[in-house]
Amino acid sequence: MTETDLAAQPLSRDWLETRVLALIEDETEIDPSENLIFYGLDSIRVMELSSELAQHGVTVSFEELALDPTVERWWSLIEARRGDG
Amino acid sequence: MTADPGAGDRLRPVFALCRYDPAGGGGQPPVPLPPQLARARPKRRAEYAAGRLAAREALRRLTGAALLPLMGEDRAPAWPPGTTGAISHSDGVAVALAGWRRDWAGLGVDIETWPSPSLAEAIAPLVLTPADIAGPEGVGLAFSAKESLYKALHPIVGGELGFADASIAELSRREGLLRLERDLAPGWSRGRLVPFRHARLGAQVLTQVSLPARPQPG
Repeated sequence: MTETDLAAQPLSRDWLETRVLALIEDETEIDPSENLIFYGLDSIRVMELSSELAQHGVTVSFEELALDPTVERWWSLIEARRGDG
Repeated sequence: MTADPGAGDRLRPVFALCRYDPAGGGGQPPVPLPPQLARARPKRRAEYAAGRLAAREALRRLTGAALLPLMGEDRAPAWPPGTTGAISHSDGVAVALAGWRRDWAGLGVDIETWPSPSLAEAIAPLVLTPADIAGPEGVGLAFSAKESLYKALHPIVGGELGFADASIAELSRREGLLRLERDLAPGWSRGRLVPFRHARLGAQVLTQVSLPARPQPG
């Protein structure tokens, strides 16, 4: 599966975890409550995820993602915003 | 480890650079890790250690003493009394900027790996404002320059700064001007121009913003 295919899939918790793993690059699993900075996540990758979410019609800013970078927090932000649209 | 020779005056803060293994190889980092990083992966530990080593080198050149900025409660570096600075790292290169607090209201430094064309295209709408003169090829530079600006402004205006709050208004080969797009704090109003410096380091882009403590002549 290519990056593009993956990014185009519907939003789900699995989608988020898969995308985060791809952005971190060299991990095979992540603790959803762990600060993703501990995995070495770069800020430009956080921006990339924000862009992918925008393509899915979900507006979560870079600043919001960077404030509390965990999979759990990000998913709750996505779920809340998905309801808005 | 390299640093500006004889810098640290009022014209320019001290810059230092430290290369590291981005995969986190090479065993235990040579600096104490804070409790917040007890669970961090080797990659994160390596970049943290390299950032602190770069900061220690910058502080050594500035103060003559081997000082290591510790990690503050907000995870930002806690600079020794009388000093201020910034740290950044990306893919094997850590950089630090340090200066005297009496000289600098805020310092910002940022290093980023140059984004691929597809990544640059994807993030451009989030990084660039309509007023940004950096085109799609300048997304990496704009991202880094704004990160440096926000680090430098953080002690002055606090948090809540976004990529829409500044635009690159002028750009030359080594320098540029960022223009504030909204009123951030007294004296930091919409339209104010803030100089930045930039450089390419191989596959990476480096930017610096240094805000003098007092208005400089001219």
